[in-house]
Amino acid sequence: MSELPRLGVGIGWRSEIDITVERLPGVDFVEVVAENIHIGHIPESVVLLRERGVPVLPHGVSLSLGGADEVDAQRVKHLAEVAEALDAPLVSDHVCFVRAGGLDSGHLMPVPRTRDALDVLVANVKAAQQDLPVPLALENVAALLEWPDGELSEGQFLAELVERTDCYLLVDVANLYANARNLGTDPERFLDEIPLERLAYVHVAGGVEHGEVYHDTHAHAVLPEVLGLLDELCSRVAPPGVLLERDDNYPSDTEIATELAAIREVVEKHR
Amino acid sequence: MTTSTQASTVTPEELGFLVSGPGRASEVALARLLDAGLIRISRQGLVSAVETPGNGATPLEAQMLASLRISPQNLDVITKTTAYSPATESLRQHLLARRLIGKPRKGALYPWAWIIAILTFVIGLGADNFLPYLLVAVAVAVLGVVFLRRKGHLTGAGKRVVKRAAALDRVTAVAVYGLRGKIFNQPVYAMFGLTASVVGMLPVRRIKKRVREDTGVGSCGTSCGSSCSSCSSASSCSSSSSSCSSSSCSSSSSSSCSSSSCSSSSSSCSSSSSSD
Repeated sequence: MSELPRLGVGIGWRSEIDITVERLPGVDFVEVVAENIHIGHIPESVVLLRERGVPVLPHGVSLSLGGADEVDAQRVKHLAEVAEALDAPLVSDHVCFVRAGGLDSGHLMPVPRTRDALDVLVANVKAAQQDLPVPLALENVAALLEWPDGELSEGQFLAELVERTDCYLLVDVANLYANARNLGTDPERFLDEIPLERLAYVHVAGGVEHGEVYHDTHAHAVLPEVLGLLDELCSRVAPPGVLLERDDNYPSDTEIATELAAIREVVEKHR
Repeated sequence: MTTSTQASTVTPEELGFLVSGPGRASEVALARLLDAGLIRISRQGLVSAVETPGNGATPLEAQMLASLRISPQNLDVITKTTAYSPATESLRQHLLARRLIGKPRKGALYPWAWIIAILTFVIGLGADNFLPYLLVAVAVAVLGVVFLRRKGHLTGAGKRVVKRAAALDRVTAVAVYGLRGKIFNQPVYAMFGLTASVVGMLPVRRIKKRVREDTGVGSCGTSCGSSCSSCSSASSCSSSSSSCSSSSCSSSSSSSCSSSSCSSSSSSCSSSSSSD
């Protein structure tokens, strides 16, 4: 079991805000969407960050590890190549499926929390790990529905996944908040049940409420409640890294810097 | 924000249009939006709207911003589409109404003049006496260049405005020189923290008017440029909207720049230009 580096506080690198990310004070690491990186054409901004010694973590969105189909070897190969090109200490993807029967959902779909589904997920994760040069961390997703006949809570499901595959966890506290709002799940129970010593890093993101539903948009400001969950997590464990994810409707540099500072304040409160 | 001259008072967009046409006016709108922190430009030239209140100060800015709020666009695309937008046409009509530009000539005849000139030349090569053909070809070509090239030529008043124009701040520097231009040997784009590769996306257009750097440009142009060149991002460079004189322009812009934020005065410095 390899040790992961301390990452600090980071932000998701996106091409629209590349210069902003380069200039933001206090960015210790960044994350790139692996599918947006083309080997041989690494964006100049990402190269610059690497030259500065900023760790760049590839984050996959298309492995579909929770799907019934076998893992797409080409997608794993690409993720591995991106990791090597960026000299990344780890890679990540989600506990979800994004395609089935040849159709892509365009969304990170939740996996049924049954023993059978866990077996499939474990097999896929192990297959992917064999072809990855660095450790794999897996992220909890936000869901608008829960499959019926679940046998395990989300925390139990992830704990067993970690135990059987030796993967790391990427905990998205915004997703935890979304599930608590929309599905009535208990974030504290989740944190009680997962092996926090296997935490690779944490995602923090914003969202917005429409009617009765909270939308995990990653395109709005981070809510105080989400920072509250980060606070709860940090009271239990010092996360190796915490990363602000913003995928659209990018605010001013000042607002982004303020959100990063708020995250850092929560993290440092527990040191 | 206007630029005052003895002949007339024009906005930076109008000045840009007079100096180099609708594309330059579009560049000015872009520069103003950058100045106001309403847009940002990525290293790869992707222009996107910043999620912040504000709609732009002019119809051109509003048009550009509305378009970018739908989706980010490459620098060359957004400047081109804005240059051919109804807002730019309104700007042109406004300049026409103010008699700063003349009525459009039949620009479509311009390429035909060249074709006729070349055909005449080629036919002349096979003729017994080549000289008359050559003279006709040259005459048609010159005619085309002189009379048929520009769609909207400057009137005498328009020429005076352009002649007296001064780059008082980084926005009017764009109007006068364009983002690809230079002022005091410094690229204008550098004032906005942009890179050469990004502005390289813009179409090349001949700069028709060089403003003398000792008339009206003064310390403001220099200090705005040098101070803002330290900014690594256009979006961090903001400008005050208050008016300033040529002297205060210099001091304010140089003193307000820091490593974290960079300000330049983009306000009108009418006293500077009117002193020409």
